[in-house]
Amino acid sequence: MKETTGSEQKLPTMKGDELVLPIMALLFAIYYFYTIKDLSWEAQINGLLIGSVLIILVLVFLVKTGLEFVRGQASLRSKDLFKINRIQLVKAGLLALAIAYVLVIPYAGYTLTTFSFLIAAMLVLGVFSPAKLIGISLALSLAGYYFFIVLLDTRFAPGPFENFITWLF
Amino acid sequence: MEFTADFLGSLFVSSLGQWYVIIPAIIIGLIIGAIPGLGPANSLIILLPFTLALNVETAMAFMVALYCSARMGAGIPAILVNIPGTAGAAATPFDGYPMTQQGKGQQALTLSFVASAFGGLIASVFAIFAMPLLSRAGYYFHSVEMVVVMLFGLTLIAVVSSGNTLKGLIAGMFGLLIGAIGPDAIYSAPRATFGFLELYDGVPVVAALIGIFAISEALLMVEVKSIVSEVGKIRMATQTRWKETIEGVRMALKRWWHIVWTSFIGLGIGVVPGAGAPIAAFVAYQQSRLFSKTPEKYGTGHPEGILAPESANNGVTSGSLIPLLTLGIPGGSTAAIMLIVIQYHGITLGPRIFLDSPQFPYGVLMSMVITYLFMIGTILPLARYMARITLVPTQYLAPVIISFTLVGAFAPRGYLFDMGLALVFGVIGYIARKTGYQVSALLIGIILGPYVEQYFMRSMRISEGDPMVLFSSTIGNFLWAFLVLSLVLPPLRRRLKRKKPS
Repeated sequence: MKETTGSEQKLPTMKGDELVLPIMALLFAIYYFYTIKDLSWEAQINGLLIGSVLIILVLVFLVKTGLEFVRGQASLRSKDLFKINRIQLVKAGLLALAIAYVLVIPYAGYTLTTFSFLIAAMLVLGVFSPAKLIGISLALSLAGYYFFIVLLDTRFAPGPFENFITWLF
Repeated sequence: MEFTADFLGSLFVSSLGQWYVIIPAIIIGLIIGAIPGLGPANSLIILLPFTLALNVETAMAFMVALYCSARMGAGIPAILVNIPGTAGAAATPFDGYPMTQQGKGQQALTLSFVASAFGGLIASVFAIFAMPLLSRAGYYFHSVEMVVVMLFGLTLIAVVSSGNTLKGLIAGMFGLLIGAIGPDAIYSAPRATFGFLELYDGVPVVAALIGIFAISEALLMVEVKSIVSEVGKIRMATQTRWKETIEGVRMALKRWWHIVWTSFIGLGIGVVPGAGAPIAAFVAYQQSRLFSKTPEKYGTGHPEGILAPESANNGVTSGSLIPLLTLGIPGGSTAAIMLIVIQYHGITLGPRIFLDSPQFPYGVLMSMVITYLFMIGTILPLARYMARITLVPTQYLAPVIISFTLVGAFAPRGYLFDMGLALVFGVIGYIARKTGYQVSALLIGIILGPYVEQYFMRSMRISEGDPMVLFSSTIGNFLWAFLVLSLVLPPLRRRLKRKKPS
């Protein structure tokens, strides 16, 4: 077998990120089993079959990764998922805004929340032109109001804008 | 009843006369289908006061047109931004989105439109002639046969995981277990609901679909300035003209036989009450890949990967109306709303209608034929302009996707919880995509999981717990044999191919 020099030596693949989903799946399968332990067999059988196969697959994956780790072919470091850099912060900001959108919408109503969300999200993504920020957000939130609320009667709690329009007409 | 050319001709002319409701319904349906979460059923409920005010033939023409075009519309975001409008279009992005990334969005849309329109047209014409025969098909497909049909769909998990089988299977099984959240099929005992009442009905597919595809896609797309690659942009700048649409039509018509047989898969699955477009699309995609001479091209932007699911999910539309028109049994939520309108007008559906007023059930299917004919003319020219959306910078596209699709998650059930759930699935989808797990395998599991359990438990209940019931029917056994063949043939063929050069 050909020997590798220091410069040729392959760096271990960073596999830390790849373990996140299997571990989530494993934890969920355990929780699933816990919730069905007192149910009749008809309610258990499906989850037991799927859950067992899932646990076996996850264990195979973990053993495989473990072996690669022992052989020095893999490391448990994060490749991308938990790295802190500008783009990750932008994504975290976007996700935080999306969570805020869901939390605020019952109080501020669809139109106002969408308008604010669009402005904030575009700012986070690097759009700084006030004309573009306000113009696009206003046009889209009003279009959304007309389509979702007026035409399709989506039942969001009305906010100040919706109440004002109802009062006006 | 005399099934003559005169009869068909008069139906055609009277259905053609409904153009003034069909064309607006096509436009409404396209928009509604293209926004994830806003399916035709919701829209028809909102429009009930309008449809109840029309005469029954016109109302049915309107509802059928909206239903068909919403099915077609769902493929548009699936191709352009990797977000299926409905679960029925969940197999479309497999090949549609890679084509968009290569700058062939216009071609991909054209393929989808031609497959949808011709697939739907062929299935509805066939349904007109074979309606009495097809109505009996539902009787032959019981829970045992349906278990095998569902397994056909599930084998797609293995197909989409071909890059990394272990990861794909983990994603698929994780999806299946998520699909098993909620009530069991026999006693409705809640399982794994995390204490949320909103999950007592199971995981809402729309919220899962929006999270896994739309939210995760929005989070991912901010890494780049545009979803189209640089090469794709150059291609779009130089070639996005009518030529691309014509090329798409040519590519689709060249594969006409593909459209025909996948539309029949849709028709067949649509006839069975409870089965629907997602299953038809997954099964058609899987079968299309199985019989393809170039299965390795699937998932990379292969035209047949768009034609198969789009043709099948439009074949479902006519199939799903058969149990409604012949037996008065709605095959899905949209058909149930149609039934409300029909009953409001005092029409009783069932075998007797073919003696009393046969023009009604045949007229409904004929209006579907007219709808698909109109769709070809009205939608094809739009492909060129729709494809331009992919050139919008992601800093504008991502916020719009998040805000509009979250509304889609809310719309079907009216729970704010579903918007939060979509975000949770968004994070799961994002992690899956970033770490090389197939989100499509995850979604296939979530969509098909509850069906598999339902049919499997029903079979077990009937047989009093004897699993051999799964091999007790002739049709079922035939399907089992075909399923085994579908699993064994591809690796065998690969092996033979490898041996050939030596």
